[in-house]
Amino acid sequence: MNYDAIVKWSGVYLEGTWVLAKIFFLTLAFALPLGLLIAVGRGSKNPFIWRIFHYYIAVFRGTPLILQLIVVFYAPSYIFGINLDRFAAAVMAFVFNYAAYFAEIYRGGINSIPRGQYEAAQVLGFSRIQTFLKIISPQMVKRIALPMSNEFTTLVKDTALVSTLAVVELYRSARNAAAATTSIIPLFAAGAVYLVLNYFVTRFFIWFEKRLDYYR
Amino acid sequence: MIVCEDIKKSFSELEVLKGISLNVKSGEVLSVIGTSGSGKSTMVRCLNMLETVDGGTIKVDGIAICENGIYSSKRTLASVAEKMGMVFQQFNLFPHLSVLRNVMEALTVVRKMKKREAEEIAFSALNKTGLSDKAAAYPYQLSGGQQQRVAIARALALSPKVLSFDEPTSSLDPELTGEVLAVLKTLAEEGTTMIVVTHEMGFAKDVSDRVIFMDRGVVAEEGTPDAIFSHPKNERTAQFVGKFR
Repeated sequence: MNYDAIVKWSGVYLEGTWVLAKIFFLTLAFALPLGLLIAVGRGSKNPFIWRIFHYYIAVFRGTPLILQLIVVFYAPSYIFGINLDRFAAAVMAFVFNYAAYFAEIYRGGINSIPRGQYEAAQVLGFSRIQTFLKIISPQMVKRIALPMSNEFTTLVKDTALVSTLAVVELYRSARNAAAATTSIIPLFAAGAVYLVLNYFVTRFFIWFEKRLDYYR
Repeated sequence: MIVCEDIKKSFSELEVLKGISLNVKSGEVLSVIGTSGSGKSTMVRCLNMLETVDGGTIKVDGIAICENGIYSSKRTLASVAEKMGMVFQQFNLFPHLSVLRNVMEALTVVRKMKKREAEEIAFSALNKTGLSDKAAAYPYQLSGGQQQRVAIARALALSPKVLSFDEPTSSLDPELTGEVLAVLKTLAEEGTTMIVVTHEMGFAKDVSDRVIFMDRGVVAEEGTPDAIFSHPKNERTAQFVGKFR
């Protein structure tokens, strides 16, 4: 594979990276808030409610994401005859899956906040919602930054799985390039792109943690 | 100001309060002493609605928190809570907020006050506890004694009618204990109604108007500091205060 070939294929790579970025940001945009709802539901005192969310988390953490992609795409068409868009199905599966992980991270963060914070807020007259918004969640964000950075970097790499649904993203683009050029180099090049993307994710979290460094 | 009648509280099998009755008059400083596990903290936590009682009546300023173990409506409870302030053993300051924000947060969030006005009140509360120069600091930058004084200012800012202290100096070394007790003493002299659960016998003796000795979930003896410390009637009281002479 020569220099010209790289230039020729770079457009395909860019497109693949763009699809990767769309999956990444769409997943975060939906899974981060959904995860919080699941965490709250999972923390409910009502046994009926928390069990529902407990099972949700068990299913989505307990089965392979690649299988979830297939189920989310094919199940509606088998059962209801609804044909989902491949890309939309891929994002949906990612949102369901990542929300389960995020929920447990949020829950861990919330549970790690000392009881005394709730009690102090209560005697000052804060409602439960005010306590969560003003006292608990700002402290939770700091505590979950590290496990969240794990999930974010994993998400960048997991996008490669949507090739299962024939959605062409970075990994699939690289495989196409590798097949066309009968070379393994395009796959290495894709690896380098993942590495660079995750370098930025890591830098983001370094910045983020520093920003929250003003208190202990 | 506060009237408790026969309050009972159990944690599963363990009966912590076995029928406590007490009165706190307006402007009075009441010290609650007793061994660990005698129910002092639980009692004060029940008054501040951090625990629910199983039975008995609690009234604040004539308004019932609960009557014969049945709690009033949420709305009533909220109106009573406004009259109550509490300071904890572990301070429980909000670590992510500056000292000033710690003190003014409830004013802006709960009382919906304008920022300017809240700041003014917060500063005057901090002035009272001698910490207005630390307004911009964060809790972790302060000593334990200073943190507790911020916590006191935070409670004062809401101008409660009754201020409860749950072992306010128990996690402080003797040097820092002094500065916190000095603040409590000033508040007492200003006529603040206070309930102080404490192991500081010097404070109970010198500052309070009345002392309650609790033992195994009951009020074993109550009286003036002089009566409790110099002429205890109850044998357990005598044993307990004897150690501090």
